[in-house]
Amino acid sequence: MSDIVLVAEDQQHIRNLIEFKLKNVGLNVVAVEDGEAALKKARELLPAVILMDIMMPLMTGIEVLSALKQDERTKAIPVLLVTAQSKEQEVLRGLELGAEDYITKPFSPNELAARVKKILARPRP
Amino acid sequence: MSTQLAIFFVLTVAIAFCIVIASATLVVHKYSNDRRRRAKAGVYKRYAAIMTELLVCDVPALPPNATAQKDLDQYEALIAPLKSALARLSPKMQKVHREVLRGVLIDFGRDLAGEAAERLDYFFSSLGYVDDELAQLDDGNWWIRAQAARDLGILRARNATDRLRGALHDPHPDVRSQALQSLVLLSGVESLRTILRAVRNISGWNAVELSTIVMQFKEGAVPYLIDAIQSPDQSVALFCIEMLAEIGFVSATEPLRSIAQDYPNINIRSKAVEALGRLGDERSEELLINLAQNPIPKLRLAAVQALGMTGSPDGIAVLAARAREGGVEELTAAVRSLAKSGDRGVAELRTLTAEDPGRFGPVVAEVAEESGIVVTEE
Repeated sequence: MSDIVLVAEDQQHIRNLIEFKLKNVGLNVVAVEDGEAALKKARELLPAVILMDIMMPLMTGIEVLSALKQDERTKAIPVLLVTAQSKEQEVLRGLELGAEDYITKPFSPNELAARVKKILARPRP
Repeated sequence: MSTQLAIFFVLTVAIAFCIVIASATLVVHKYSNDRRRRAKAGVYKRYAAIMTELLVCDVPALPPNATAQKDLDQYEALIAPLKSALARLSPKMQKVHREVLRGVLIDFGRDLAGEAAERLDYFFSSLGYVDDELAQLDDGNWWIRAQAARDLGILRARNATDRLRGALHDPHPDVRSQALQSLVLLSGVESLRTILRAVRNISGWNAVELSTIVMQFKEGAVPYLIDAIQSPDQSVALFCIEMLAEIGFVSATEPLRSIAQDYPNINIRSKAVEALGRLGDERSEELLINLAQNPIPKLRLAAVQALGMTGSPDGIAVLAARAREGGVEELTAAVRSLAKSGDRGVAELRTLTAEDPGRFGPVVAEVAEESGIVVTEE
């Protein structure tokens, strides 16, 4: 596994903000704008953690998570889901599929960065 | 003939000319619009990038005893270069840029919390947008007022709270709805005090919206609902009682008992009786038993139904009495309530059926089928 943080978020201004913030705290970040690109990059880069919006075009975050967990190469990558407050069912589904945790919008960039760093600090398999 | 041909020819040429001019105008107009849209998209992208940096860049840490004003001074220092750049633009370009920048701030405002959101709120105010939005709350067009009400909430403009309270009385329902949502965002559960005082004529539609807001707060809303039962508007009082029953927090029992006993309006007393049944608190049982013998039919009926919801065996005697003495509606309600009162209630139903099969038989049979209970002895 690499030390890359993969960010999958379709809203450009939020994607750029997350990318900027994580880079600002010293992380190596790759950002994509849809689910298909997220799955492709995850398989290619084997990132250390994936930060993924649930509602994305082409493939949703849940669909990507499901695909990641079925692939031997990617199933151990921790996934942090980003979701709107009203999407409790999707969050539960994501946690059942093996997501590490979730963060709801509106979110604090400081908290997001702290959560990502905490996941990265854990010993890896 | 040749004159007619000439006129026809001239007309044809003139029409063709008009069509060509109109088409050319449309093409030029579309091209200009596309250019403007692309230019605005470019401006949006630039401001989004600027805002990204301003919202999450590191600022020097302040000493622990620093005042809140020091934070604001830091935020002002961050936004100052952008303000200067805007001030240097021509009035026309400033208007365009301010409009785009406002859109950027609103878009970020929907998704951010924490310290980044505090910076955003400050920028929104410092750039003069709060004043602009407040002015738009007086606009003649309802959609402008509604958008302003909405945006003031998204960007947590706390000094707009008073004006948003005023907007709760706006003639247009969409403006009132946006003001309501924004007040909830700004003031949390405390906003219920203002909202429940301001609303009037709660209809099916806005009852759904209000109930969604109340249910967000659950038991936190109870004190405000209890206060608002005293509203001069019957629809508000009924709504609050319904919400208290729905939330199901037994701290509402005492105020509801008081209303069920003494309130001057029979509809509201009946609703309170129903709510007491739904709360199921045994402190209400004696009152419900008394009210089941009240001379006012509406109250009697509500109490008979409420006793069924509590399922208390202590109410069986009065339910049986109502079944014997009441009209069709009370008879049916009493039989239903007895069916929910355990084995003793079912035993009472057998007694009544045996006593007067003609009066009680059909109703008991129907209720037994509804509830899946067995009344007839094997």
